[in-house]
Amino acid sequence: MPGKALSLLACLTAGLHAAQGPSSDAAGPPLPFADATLAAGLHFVYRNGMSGALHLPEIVGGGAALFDFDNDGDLDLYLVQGGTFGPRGEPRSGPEHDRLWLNVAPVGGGDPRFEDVSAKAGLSPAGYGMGVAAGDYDNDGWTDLLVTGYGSMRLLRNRDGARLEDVTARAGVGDGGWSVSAAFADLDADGWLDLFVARYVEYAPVRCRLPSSRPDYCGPQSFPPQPDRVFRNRGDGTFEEATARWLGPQRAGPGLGVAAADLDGHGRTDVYVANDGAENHLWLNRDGPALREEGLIGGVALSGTGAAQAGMGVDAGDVDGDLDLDLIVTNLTGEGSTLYVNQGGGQFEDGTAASGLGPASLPLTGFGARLLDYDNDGWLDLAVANGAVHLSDPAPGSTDPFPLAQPRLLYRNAGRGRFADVTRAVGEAFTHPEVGRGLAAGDVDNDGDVDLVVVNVEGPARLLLNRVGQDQPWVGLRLLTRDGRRDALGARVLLRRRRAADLLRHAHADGSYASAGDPRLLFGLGGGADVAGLDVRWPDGAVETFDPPALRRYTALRQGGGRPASARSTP
Amino acid sequence: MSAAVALLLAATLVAVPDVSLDNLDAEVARQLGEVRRRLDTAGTGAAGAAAFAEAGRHYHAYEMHAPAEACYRNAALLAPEDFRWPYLLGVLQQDAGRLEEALASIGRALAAPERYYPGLLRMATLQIALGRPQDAERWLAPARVHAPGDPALLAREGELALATARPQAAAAALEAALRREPRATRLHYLLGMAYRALGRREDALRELARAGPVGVRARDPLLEGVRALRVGESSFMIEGHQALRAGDTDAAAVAFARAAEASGGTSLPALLNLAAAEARRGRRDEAIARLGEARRLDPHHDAVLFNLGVLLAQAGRAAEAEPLLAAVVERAPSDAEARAEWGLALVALGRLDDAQRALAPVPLDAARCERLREALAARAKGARDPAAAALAGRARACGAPPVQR
Repeated sequence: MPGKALSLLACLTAGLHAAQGPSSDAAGPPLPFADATLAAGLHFVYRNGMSGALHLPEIVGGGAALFDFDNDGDLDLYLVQGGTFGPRGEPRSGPEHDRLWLNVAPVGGGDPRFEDVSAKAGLSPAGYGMGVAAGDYDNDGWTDLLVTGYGSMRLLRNRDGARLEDVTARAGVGDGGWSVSAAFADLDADGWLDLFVARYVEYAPVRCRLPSSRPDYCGPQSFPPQPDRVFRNRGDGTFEEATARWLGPQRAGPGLGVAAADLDGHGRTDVYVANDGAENHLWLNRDGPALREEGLIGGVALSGTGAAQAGMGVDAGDVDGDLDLDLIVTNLTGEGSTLYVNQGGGQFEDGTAASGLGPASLPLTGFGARLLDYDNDGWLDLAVANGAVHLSDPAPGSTDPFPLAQPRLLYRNAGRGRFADVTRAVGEAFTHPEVGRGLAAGDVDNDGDVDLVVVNVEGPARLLLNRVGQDQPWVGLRLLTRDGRRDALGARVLLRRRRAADLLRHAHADGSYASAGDPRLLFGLGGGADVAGLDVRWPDGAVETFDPPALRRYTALRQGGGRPASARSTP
Repeated sequence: MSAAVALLLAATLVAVPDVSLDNLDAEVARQLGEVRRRLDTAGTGAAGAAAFAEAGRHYHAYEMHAPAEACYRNAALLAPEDFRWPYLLGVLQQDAGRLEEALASIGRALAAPERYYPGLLRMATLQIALGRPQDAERWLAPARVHAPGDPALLAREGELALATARPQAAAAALEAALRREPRATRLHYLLGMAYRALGRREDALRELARAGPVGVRARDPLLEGVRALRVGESSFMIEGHQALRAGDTDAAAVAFARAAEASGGTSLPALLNLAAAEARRGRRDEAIARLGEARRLDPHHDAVLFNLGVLLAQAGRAAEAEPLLAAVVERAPSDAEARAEWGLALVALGRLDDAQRALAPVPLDAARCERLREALAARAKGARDPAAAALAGRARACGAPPVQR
């Protein structure tokens, strides 16, 4: 409802005061993240339906969405549930279903508390879920969800923050294939969010083995890849299939991760797809409406040594402070995470070796990945959820049926994209091994730093609260479309500082793996809080300048509410 | 060795994790069981070193990293003068993504007088991956003395030059590597990146279009020796599939042949994959022979009949191919691939009415359209019956690129 959306806008403009979180104790500085799952009342396990048949979908889901379901100014949580299998490996609903958790902490701060409102929201078992994307596709002021899955895909319309209504058939976005990650993005800049769906493979049970001949999960190479799909939003609550028109004759790839952002600086939203064991795709959006795939010449299809990697999670962000968006992709054990450094004009270079990301990530298999400034020092750090995909040869008598657990990773950006592994300093919240997949990021307690939700396969989902970022000065922004109804996904903001380097951030809910995050922007100002102003480039290409916002609170910026910017300042 | 030294050594040996032999191929289980028994009775002298080394190599062959590492560590402890065990330990650590440990182990191996050449290249590769170009160069220098002009060395030099923003040098090294090893399709990507950096966009696009998965590595007899220890059909099948994925059809054919041999010629998947690898190598007659063996194992196996039919048709033996393809279509009438191949075989046999009916319900991609045109052109001039005209019309009209599934 517009009325509710406007009340939220007023609330945001007035600002949300930072919660007074614990900053230190006698034992020393606080750990950067604390596991607040139980304290917040969350309990959820992603069930993969494993029965010993080693079906590939068992190791692929699931995901989470952090989004404001009821427009009350804080982030709620949607968790996708898996399913079971029929005799030929076909997907079936399991006994449990997706869960919607309402954040019932008092607006204005305090540790988050979640309440399960799944039944009231109308959720019931519906196929074998994988991931989720978030965006207000009908511009009604309420954020909707697209739930991806093995054998199905569902568009859930948010009805006034009370129910999630399955409108898949009516909206024309059904898909019987296997999708994991998707992104809402206004690809044709018409003011309506289109939909890009990365699809994985055509699965049918086959038997694969470890080199020792022991049964193992198959990799994607054992199955034909499925082509990605793109749906154009007609603006009337329905979508039209635009795959052939916008993507042309595409080379199908086993897609797992999607990030939509202006990657070449041309002012339109591009799409990057991380493919598992095949060339990644870079869909550049230049001349409209068709997108052009330029992953190879862009230097982001393969590793720096020319090898196709097992792309899973992906995120875009300016890690080196040169005011363009770089890309991070998580991969298989032995491949490590790959950092593609933006050189401008849609060209990237593999900067992994110099970044320091390699050594810690190489022994692990990365899935959810998020570039976030956890310590609010102005540099984007990196959090990764890990979990193996291949069984190992067990010791005699071993009883673990799913021995794929691995620790998470946290890297601190020491400046200009040079990363240091600080996982051990974070403690149990990161070192405890689990089979990590989805990773959603957002300021759950509205205290000015980025918290995390991790989805584990056959293990509890985790809420990891950031305990250190709020100690630094920060600016929070919510970017809204002209009518103030929805988040302006794809907008970029240049925060200008007088005595420190400018900062670039972009509004996005996509990226990571199978998950959707907080579309609000957080600027950590630990490196200098003397803000001179903001330049915003909106998804339609318009650029506006805004006065410096208040520190330590969220401010809503609506398109049309600023001053036309000079040609110089185009973020 | 004195008793005291022996006791001290025994105390410092690493415990070798046991591995369950359940769910393994019988041959593999038997082999590893024997290895374990020998290990359990090994002492701390030369015999002990040999037993640990042998066990390490066997575990390594099946990528059982934890016991293999423990064995190599013990072998290296008991036979410190032997560079092979720290080297293989380093290979395992590199495969597991533990690069610093791999550097230490391989570095120790290279302290021996042998200066094992593949180890030099590995050290350079590791240093490049860790962002230490100057250290990489330290290892490439002796490698140049050892094997100047080796394509694997040239490839590493190209990678290093790219990593240090020297695209001209990278292009020169990669061009030279590709001249010596044209099958190394992965180098086309690196060369494309070098050309891109030089502003030669068209050259870059040309190279990128030729990029593939096949890398170039120095021959590594130690590692080859490890892999040769594998037994059992499954192991070879996995090896074959890995080689196919890497674009190395030669290695794939060898592995699938070993799988077929391990099964005593009774493994249909091994024969089927061997035939596919042979066909990809351009050895069509070999492929037909292997499929013939597979057909004797299962006369009604669809994939065998289809592949054999296609290869026979390609070899101009349409009369033999047609009944095989017809059998596949009879069992799976909606199989568009089989129907298209069957139709083309019928055209080659001059049975144009049957061909028209066979091809009517299926789309033809550009390659099959071309084959249809050629088959019609090869027919006797003047045969202008209605079916021929209809097929000729079809050949003119079709040719859209194949639709990706």
